[in-house]
Parts: sequence; structure tokens; C-alpha cells
Amino acid sequence: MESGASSLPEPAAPPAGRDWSELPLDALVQVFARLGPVEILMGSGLVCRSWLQAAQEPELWRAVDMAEHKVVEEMKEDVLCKMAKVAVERSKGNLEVFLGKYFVTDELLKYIADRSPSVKILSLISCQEVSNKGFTELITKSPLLEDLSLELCPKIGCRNMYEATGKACPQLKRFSLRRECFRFSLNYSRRVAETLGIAVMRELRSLTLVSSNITNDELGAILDGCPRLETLCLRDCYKVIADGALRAKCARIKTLTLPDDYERQ
Amino acid sequence: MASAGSGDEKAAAAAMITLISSDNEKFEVTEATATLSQTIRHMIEDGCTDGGVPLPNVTSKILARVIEYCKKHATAAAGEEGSSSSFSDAAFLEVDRAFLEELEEFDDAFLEVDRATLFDLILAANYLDIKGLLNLTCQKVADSVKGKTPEQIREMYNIVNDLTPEEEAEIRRETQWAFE
Repeated sequence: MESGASSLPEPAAPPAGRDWSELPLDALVQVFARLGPVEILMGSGLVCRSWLQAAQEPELWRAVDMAEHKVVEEMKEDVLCKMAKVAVERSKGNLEVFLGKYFVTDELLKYIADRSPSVKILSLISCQEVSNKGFTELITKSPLLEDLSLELCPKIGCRNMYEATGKACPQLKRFSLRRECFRFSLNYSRRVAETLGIAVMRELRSLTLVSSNITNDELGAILDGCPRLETLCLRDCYKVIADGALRAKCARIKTLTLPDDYERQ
Repeated sequence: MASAGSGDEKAAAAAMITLISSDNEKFEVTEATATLSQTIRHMIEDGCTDGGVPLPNVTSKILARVIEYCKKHATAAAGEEGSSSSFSDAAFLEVDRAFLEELEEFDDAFLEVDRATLFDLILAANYLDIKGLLNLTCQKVADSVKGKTPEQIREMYNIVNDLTPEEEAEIRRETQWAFE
């Protein structure tokens, strides 16, 4: 770009600044891999053409964690849904991990389901809007699912749905279910014996239930149905009585946490 | 810095590699240090390091820093290996922890550089394929852009926005939230 004026023998002083838009793609991907979807979509991925190109590399979008970033607490739900869709789009069908918070809707889960056949890890936290219908839509298209966590999602649940999950996801190894505190649950009646559906998850290695209304009998059915279970954690499950018979049944569990006696008082 | 390769050094020469910077400065390093670079490791495996390894993309200033990094990390790796056999578990853990702490301090101090040097280090780490150094330097960049808007990042790193109005409009459609 410099013209003429080369008669003066300038000693090769390197230019003080560097052109950061010329960072190699591999290095940029390394930078973005440390930032997470929200940061890339709102900041670094919009800086210039080369950074935008790097931000579109599918390998960056295998894992989309939209539960951690502080912006998730501050932004409107529809905006977060839009972001999640762009993230899913950029994964080009390679999405393996999706962690979402309250902004998730049935429609978003369907969007993910239609584009992501390889989801292995799914975590939904405080998703008030997501129903069994939307959840089932995703689960039935996620045959590779290994790890599922549902935390305070009041509309997801019931025996049939867990059974459907167990059948659709034969590789499911970890399941964690946290119910809202029993006293505040409005949907209690629908939940009769819902945990019996978990007994269909044959490959389960780890099960965590918090504030579930599971009973000793239902737990027994799960222990019979899931022969590979090795980690079992029950907290605030007030109907479970940790008596001798139950403990004997749990003898093969390597890591066992049962509700304490005084926890129930 | 240029090594003359005197008689005394010949004995150790078998395990030594000569790296030649873009400005033709020669650096003698042990094979353990050099092979932290996958690029150089492959060259050694292919037997093409006789007469030195020319690195036309790396200046002597940056190569010296890169070697400093590799020496430290190669020593740490060797130390860990050696200690595992001769210490009890507890002592080993203690030594291990001390190593890691020292290494962390070294890394922190190593990153106290201006932006131009950081840029050159990333290029070198990328070209020489030194995973640890690339991770370290890229983490520094990632930390610096966290929570920043595109405009703030452009300012910070002197980047010109070279997106055409059409591209920009396209991005705006896709990522409306950043402009709201």
C-alpha cells in the first residue's frame, strides 16, 4: 500500500501495532472456545469479517451453554430464544450439549429437535413454559442422549413421559430430576407414581431425585429395572423411609445418599 | 547467542537441536524442550533437523520467549516424571503441587507482555503447534474481550470493521440483540 518514498533506508522497525483481524483461524477458534455462546454472539463474533468467520465454525457450537452467563438473567426471553436458534444453526447438526434456563420454550425444543440428531447432554433449569409435548418432541429425536437434567420444570413430568424417554434414549446413563418444593407444587395430583417411569431407563448409572414424591415401592421398581445403577442420590424425598429392607435393596449401589431420618420431621 | 558448536558441546549434541529464527539467529535447545512443539517433533521423527531447523515465521525476539516457555514446561514435565518413582504418595503430591504452583506463577509472569508480543506469541504457538502456549495466550485474549461490545473490542485491538454494509445488515438480522 505504501507508494514510492522507499529511497530512505528505513531500518526494519516492526510496526508497533498488529492486525488482530489477521489472527489465524485456528487461534481465533481457540479464543472463542473459551468464551461461550452469549459472548460470541453479542461481542467478539461481530468484530470484523475474519472474526465472524471464526465464530461460525461448527465445532464451536457443539456445546451450547446458555444457563451460566449473567446476561441470561437480564435479557428478554424471546431474544435469548433467538440467540439459542442461531447457536443451533451454527452447529450445523453437530449440537451435543444444550444447557438452557427459563427462556426455553416448546418451540425452541422443536427447533433443536429438527436440527440436532446428536444431542448427548441436555439440561433444563426453571423452564416454566416447556410442556411434556415440547419436551417429548426433542427427546424422541435424541437417540444418543446420555445425560438428562430437569430442574424445577413444573410442566415436564408424568410416568408416561419418563417411560417414553427411557425407550427413545436407550443410552441414557445419568438422570437428575429436581422438583419444586412439595408444598408449592400446584400439579401434585398429576404426579402420582411418576417416578415409576424411570424404571424403563435400563442403562441408567446415576439417578438423582430432589423433592420427588417417590415412595419405597417405586424406588424398588427402579432398582429392579435399572440393573447398572451405581449412584443414587435422594434428597428431600419425604415419602422414602430409609429402613433396613430398602438399604438391603440398595446394597449394590456404590454411592448412596438416602434421606436422613430427621430430614423428614 | 549464536553457538559455535565447540568440541565440548559435541558430546551433548546428539540430544540438541538447533533452531534458526527468521533473522538468522541460532538457538541450541534440548530435544525435550524442542519437542513441546509438535511441528518440530514431526521434523525430528522424519529426521530432517540436521543442520538446524529454520523457522522463517519466528523472529529471534519471539523465539527466545517461546524457548523460555518450552524450557520451563519441559523441565516441569521431566521433574514430575522423575519424582513419581522416588517419593511416597504424600510427598509426591506435595512436590506435584509445588511444581504446579511454580508453573502457574511462571505462566502469569510470562503473559505480562504488550499486545504486539502477545499477537506474535500466538502466531508462533500456532505455527509451531505448542498446545500449552496456544491455550495460555488464547485464554489471555478471551479474558480481555469478555463482556465487551464489538466496538470496544475493535478499539482495544485496533481492528477495522471490514464488513460490508450488506454483510452488516445480514448480521443485524441474525443477531439483532447486540444492536438493541
